Amino acid sequence: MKSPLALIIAVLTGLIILLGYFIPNPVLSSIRTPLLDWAVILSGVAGLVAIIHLIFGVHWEKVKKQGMQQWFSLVVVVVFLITLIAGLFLEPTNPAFQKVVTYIQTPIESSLLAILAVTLSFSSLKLLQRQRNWMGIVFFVTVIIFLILNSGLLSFTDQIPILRDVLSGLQMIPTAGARGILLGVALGSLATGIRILIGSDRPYNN
Amino acid sequence: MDKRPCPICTRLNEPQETHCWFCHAELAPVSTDQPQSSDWLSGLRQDQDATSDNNPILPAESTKSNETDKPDEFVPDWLSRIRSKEAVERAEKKAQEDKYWAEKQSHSGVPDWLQSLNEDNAEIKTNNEVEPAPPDPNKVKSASPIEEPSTTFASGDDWLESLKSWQSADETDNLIQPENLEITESPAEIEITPQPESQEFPEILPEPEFDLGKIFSPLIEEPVIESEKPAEPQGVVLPEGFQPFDLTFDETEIQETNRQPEQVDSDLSSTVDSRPQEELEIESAPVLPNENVDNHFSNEDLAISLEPIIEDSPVQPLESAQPIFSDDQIDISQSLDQSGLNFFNDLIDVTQPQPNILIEPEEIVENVPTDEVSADIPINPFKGDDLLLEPFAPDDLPEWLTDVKPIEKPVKEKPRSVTPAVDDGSPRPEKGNLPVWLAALRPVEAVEMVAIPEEKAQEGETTDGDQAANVMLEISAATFIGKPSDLSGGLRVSNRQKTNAALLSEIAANAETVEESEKNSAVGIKNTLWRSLLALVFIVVAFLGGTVLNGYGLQPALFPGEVVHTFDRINSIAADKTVLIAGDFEAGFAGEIRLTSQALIEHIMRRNLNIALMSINPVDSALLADQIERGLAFVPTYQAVGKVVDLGYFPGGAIAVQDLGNSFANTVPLTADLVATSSIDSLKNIQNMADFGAIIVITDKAETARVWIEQLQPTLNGTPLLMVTSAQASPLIQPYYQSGQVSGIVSGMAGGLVYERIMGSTGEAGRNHTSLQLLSVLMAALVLGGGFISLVKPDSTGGKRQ
Amino acid sequence: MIPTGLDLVWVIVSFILTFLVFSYFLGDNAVYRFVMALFIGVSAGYFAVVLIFQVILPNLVVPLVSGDRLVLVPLVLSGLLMFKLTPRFSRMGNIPMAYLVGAGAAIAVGGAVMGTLFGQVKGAWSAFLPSSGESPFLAYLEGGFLLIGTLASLAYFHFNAKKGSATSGKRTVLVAIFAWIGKIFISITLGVVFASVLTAAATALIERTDFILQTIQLLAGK
Repeated sequence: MKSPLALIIAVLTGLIILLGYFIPNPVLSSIRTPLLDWAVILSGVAGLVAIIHLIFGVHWEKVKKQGMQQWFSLVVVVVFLITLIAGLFLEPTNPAFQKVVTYIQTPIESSLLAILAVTLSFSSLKLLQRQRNWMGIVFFVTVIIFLILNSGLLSFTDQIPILRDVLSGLQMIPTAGARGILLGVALGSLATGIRILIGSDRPYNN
Repeated sequence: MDKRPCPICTRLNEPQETHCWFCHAELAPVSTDQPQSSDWLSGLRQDQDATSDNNPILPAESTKSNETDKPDEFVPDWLSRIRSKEAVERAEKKAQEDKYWAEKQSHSGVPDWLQSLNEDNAEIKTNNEVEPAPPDPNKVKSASPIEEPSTTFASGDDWLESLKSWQSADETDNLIQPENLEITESPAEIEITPQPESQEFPEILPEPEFDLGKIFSPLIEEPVIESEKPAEPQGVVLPEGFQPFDLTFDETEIQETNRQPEQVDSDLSSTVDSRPQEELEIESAPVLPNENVDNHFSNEDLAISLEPIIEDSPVQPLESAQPIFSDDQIDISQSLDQSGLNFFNDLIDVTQPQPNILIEPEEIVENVPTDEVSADIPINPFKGDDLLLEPFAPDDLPEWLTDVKPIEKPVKEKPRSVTPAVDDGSPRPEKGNLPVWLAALRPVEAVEMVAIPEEKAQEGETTDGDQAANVMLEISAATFIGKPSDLSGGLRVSNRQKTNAALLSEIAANAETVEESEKNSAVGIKNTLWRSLLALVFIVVAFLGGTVLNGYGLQPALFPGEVVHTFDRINSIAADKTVLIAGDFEAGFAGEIRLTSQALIEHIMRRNLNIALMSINPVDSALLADQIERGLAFVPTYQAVGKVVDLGYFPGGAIAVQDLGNSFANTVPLTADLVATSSIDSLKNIQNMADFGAIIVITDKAETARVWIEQLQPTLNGTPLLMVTSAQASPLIQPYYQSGQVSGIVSGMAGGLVYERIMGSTGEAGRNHTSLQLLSVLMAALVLGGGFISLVKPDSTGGKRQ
Repeated sequence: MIPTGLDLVWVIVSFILTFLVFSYFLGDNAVYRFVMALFIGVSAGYFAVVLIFQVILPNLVVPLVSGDRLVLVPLVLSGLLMFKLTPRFSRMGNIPMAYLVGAGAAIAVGGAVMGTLFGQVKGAWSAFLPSSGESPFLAYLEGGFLLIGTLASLAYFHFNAKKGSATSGKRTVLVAIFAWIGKIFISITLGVVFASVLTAAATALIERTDFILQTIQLLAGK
């Protein structure tokens, strides 16, 4: 049986916070502020729960099993423990500890993004192979034009009024499309949020 | 003209004969069909006909041999081979039987069957002294036509009566008689009818009147002399395991055969038996004296062991090869409606060693023509030195006989169904339509038309295979097409066939996976090579842009408005105001963010503004601190200590931003160093977000930028909200800039370059913009080239079309 | 600034890790997986440290020590959230999860209404207003173009069928026309986004190659 208490808490909390958007009441604000603070704290604790589950619920279990993945999971667990212990001793604001981010995490993630450039380019070779229709051709032409535009190679056109106006007008098209997309996303978020606030959707009950 | 088999004893007879040469049974006319007798042999034939027709793994030559049989009789070729070999046997033993019966008549006092046994043992003893030469399989003669089919055992006497004559009444009663066995007076009138439980085996056997060990020992020790065995007549090829019938056995052998297996075992316990237990359990047929064959054709004598498996073991003395009936053998024998004539089909010289040949239905050798010799059959039924003269060597019986189940009524043909009656538990195949090419290949004989419209039948006579196949398909849809009655008995699949089928399917499955994996690996290797090559080109171009070609890139002539507004906003911040720099980007975009924001941070430093750092992403505190460090390298006059405050990490995303916008002082009571914000000069006057001079959000995604704009902008009251974003977030943030919700945007390395140009400084963005232009051109060229090739190349991937 | 001592070691470590990640160009391999495992461990460890020192300590421990009783609520909720780690008692964590979901939903709704809907509608309207020095006709043209594009993009996501057309389920003619126009706008917008993503990735590649080049120069100079 799904808990009604969770539903009540979700609806009450949501309504109080939502009302604060539209009703600038000090009483309401005094209730709303700690709710938001507690939500921030809970978000942090939720992150900690996720990390514990990742290390001890997933990778530690893989360490117990046989196979190649066992060793990689062991690396994860060992490195986590080393980093945790070092951070507990050095504290996160210590520049020495922050080098873990700047010299290990950042190069790895940046390199992964660099790989993405090659793989995306390799995949875009077959752009029209998968979408052989008018919309695909429009997409294809747009990509080429704006790649050149973003690179700055067409900066000489700024000196030519007609071309400048054409290009600036061309850049209005994605603005209009983006506005429509943003409105659509906002409407979708609105609908989803209202469904949760009225209790129609209960993603927290499992 | 083809020989005619006897309906009783199944021996081949000349076409012109009217009575069987062996049992004197009346032969059916040539034109008439074989009567559907209810005897077990006929039943066997019917069953075998049905199974043989349904068995898909019949040897190819079997079809050929079937053609030699009577057209009205479905006799499998292996049966034909067996019969042909039997014919050879019969011819050889016919003479010996005559002699035996003649000699039997001359003895008195001693029971004839016992006297004959003694005589046979004496003969065997002498015969075993000579080492018989193993027969050469290559020299096995094929069966020849029987020359004297009408020869009888005795001089015109009924063979069955002669069998009974040498048996006393008591002995007859005490003999072990198999069930379901009925022996009539006249062999010609013998009808093999199943009589379950018509006779019972006496459990108590009469005591032997003589020393069995002495009697049996000669049989054990004396091997059958190969040379003395009647030579196989020309043209007769014995089936596997079959041996010529040797009528030289004595009464001791008969006594042994009359005993129960358990009793035999107990009796033999005292005898020396060096053979392994399994050999002991090897079927052995009852031993019959040749001269008493008529009297011995009682029920117990016809208890034939039907086990065809013959182990390749050296011939053992007779005492170790006692005719032991296994339970299966007894069951089988009892279940068979044996007439005295049936065992002649399987007459085997039990004095000869049993060849170790495993006979299975699918291993049945080719049907050897009557005038040819099958040279590739390594059969040596006469191998061994110690030959056991047993007419009923159960090892030599064909498997079809051993596989025969208790008499059952012929299985009525089930109603015709499309699916075969495969009982192996596999899912039934779905009823489906034959492809045209397969329907065209299907023989017409395999399909029986139930009702064929005339017009369609005429259409089916067209010469065009496709038309005919189509017509057949139409007919099948309109009418019910089933297999002929003889073919609809169901599919019987043996265990070996199942095993072979499973092996084949496994091999095929592995072959497919191997092929697919090989194919995938080939494609994967090709893609890897292309990707590696492309990566190399990209890296080389980037290197060239940053080194050799540096400075050749085109500089922007006009500055984008959003970048200029950003510059202006920062320029307009009051000197005593604090600028909040909020980081909400991933570490992967740190490089691009650094190239984008470095000039802006330097601008703030040059204006000597207070900076408050906060991060919505855990790593941004370190990254922002690193950027401050880099900026200090370009603005050494900026005193970071006291001017730069790290507020730490705030989890929650949109919740944290809303919390910040609701009340900054309440949300950020402490700094990252756990120092109260109220005690810091640059922050003590900050109660709300609007109290900051400017809020600069550094983000890599449009989503986080949207969150900051939605949650914070309504509460800023004119405080500029500036965005420093990755290039990928720029298109979706432009509407916010256009609507005025964002005061300025600096996006991508191009925006950083413009900011540097505005600042008049040279930074990393200016140093690398040539690389960016070259790479952008390269990517555009790749997309363009790939697009043209895709347009020209036919669609092989099933792309989406409109 | 030339790194020295331990910083140089970190630079070399970063240099090596960059090449190890680039080994992915040759295909997935054990070295790449090792680096990924290292990355996951470091990220998780750093995140845990930051959470402990910058969330739990200042927001839960310090107020509790200082006597703030109101902190008991998030403390209890945090304790209940820990039950999510155990399958048996994971239902106990539904309450804090409901709290978070409710708060997030309200914030999403409020931000969508106050931030995007109001803001963008205002922006669509403000496009008709000529800026300083701009021709009104040009402003109206620009505003009209943006408005049509916005409405067309919104119409593309409109899937309501015409009343009474139970069999066809098609849109009305006007909506269909606008949807077709909106499809073009969205295609162009997504093309621009894709081009921007390519640019961002290329920038990351340029930054990495620049780092490699500088490190080589640094090591060569050393």
